[in-house]
Amino acid sequence: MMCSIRFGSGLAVSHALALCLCLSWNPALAQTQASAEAENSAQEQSANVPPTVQRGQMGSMITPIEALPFRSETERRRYQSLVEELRCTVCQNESLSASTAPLARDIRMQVFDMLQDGDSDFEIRNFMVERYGDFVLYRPPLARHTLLLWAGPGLLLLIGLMTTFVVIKKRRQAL
Amino acid sequence: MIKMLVPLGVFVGLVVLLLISLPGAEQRRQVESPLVGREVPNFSLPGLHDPEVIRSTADLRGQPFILNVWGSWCFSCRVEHPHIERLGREAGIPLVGFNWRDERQDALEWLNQFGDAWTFHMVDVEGRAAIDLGVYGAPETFLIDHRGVIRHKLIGPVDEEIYADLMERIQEMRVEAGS
Repeated sequence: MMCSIRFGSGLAVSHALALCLCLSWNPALAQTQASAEAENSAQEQSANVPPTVQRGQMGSMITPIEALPFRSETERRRYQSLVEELRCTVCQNESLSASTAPLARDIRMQVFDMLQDGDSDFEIRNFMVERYGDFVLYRPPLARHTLLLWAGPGLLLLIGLMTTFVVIKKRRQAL
Repeated sequence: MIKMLVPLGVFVGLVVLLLISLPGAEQRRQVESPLVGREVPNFSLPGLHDPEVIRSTADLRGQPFILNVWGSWCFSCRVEHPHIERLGREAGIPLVGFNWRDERQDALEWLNQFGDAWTFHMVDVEGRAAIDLGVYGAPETFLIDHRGVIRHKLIGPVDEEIYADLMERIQEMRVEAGS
């Protein structure tokens, strides 16, 4: 791991720590890194960053998920992926899982209850689309009006490849 | 010469495409409700002044009505309140209040302070019926016709201009209902 490498100068250590901060997007990873950094700072005086500060900075990345009584690990995972791919409608650029808005909480509870009732992921997603429209889905459905969106990147790649091909061919002929 | 104009042409084309397809700021905030044109979901909720009375949206079938989502915690509801009061007086159809995620005491005090022009209120403390309605913020105003079909949904406060538009739509619904 990055953080366990020993550096001679304090400057290098602080750079490494900054790098670690940037790299630790995953809260679970952040925990292990924080503890590694704690060890580090015990070994080296110059690495004077208390782990608590780093946890505070990580705080914004930890999602406000309620402790829900899931019946199984599969159910927990299904819930997790559903609330991550559904958009919070009040705070349009956040997923349901990331939002602290009361409505987002209500909808999370709705998702949880539907899971408990044995509804499929499709039924739950459909339930939301029926009420809030395609807008609630972070992954837009493949339909006529979204065709350009889905096919666009491939189309652009194709145009690029064709242009390259033509240009190369022309230059070869010119030689 | 013509070759040099190609990048410019592509650029202009892109600008035109973006101008057409990017919605204005106003439109972007509005999430179009898929519920418009569909039947109003059926839910039963207790009253605000009369918690013992349970009313359902099905009870209102046969006449057009206005459903106004509000809460005492909602600042914009205070802003639109004069216009909602006018709707209550002049629309000629029931104005149903949908008290969303509110404390009963706060809601009653709010009405006391600002005035209560609604025909009656339905109280949704848990927010479940609101999800059925596709509500994502207060205030929201729904127009529902005599067959129970949602004809119009407004997100945000009613102002002078919107009031006139709502009244026009309400007149239409009244004519259809034959009242």
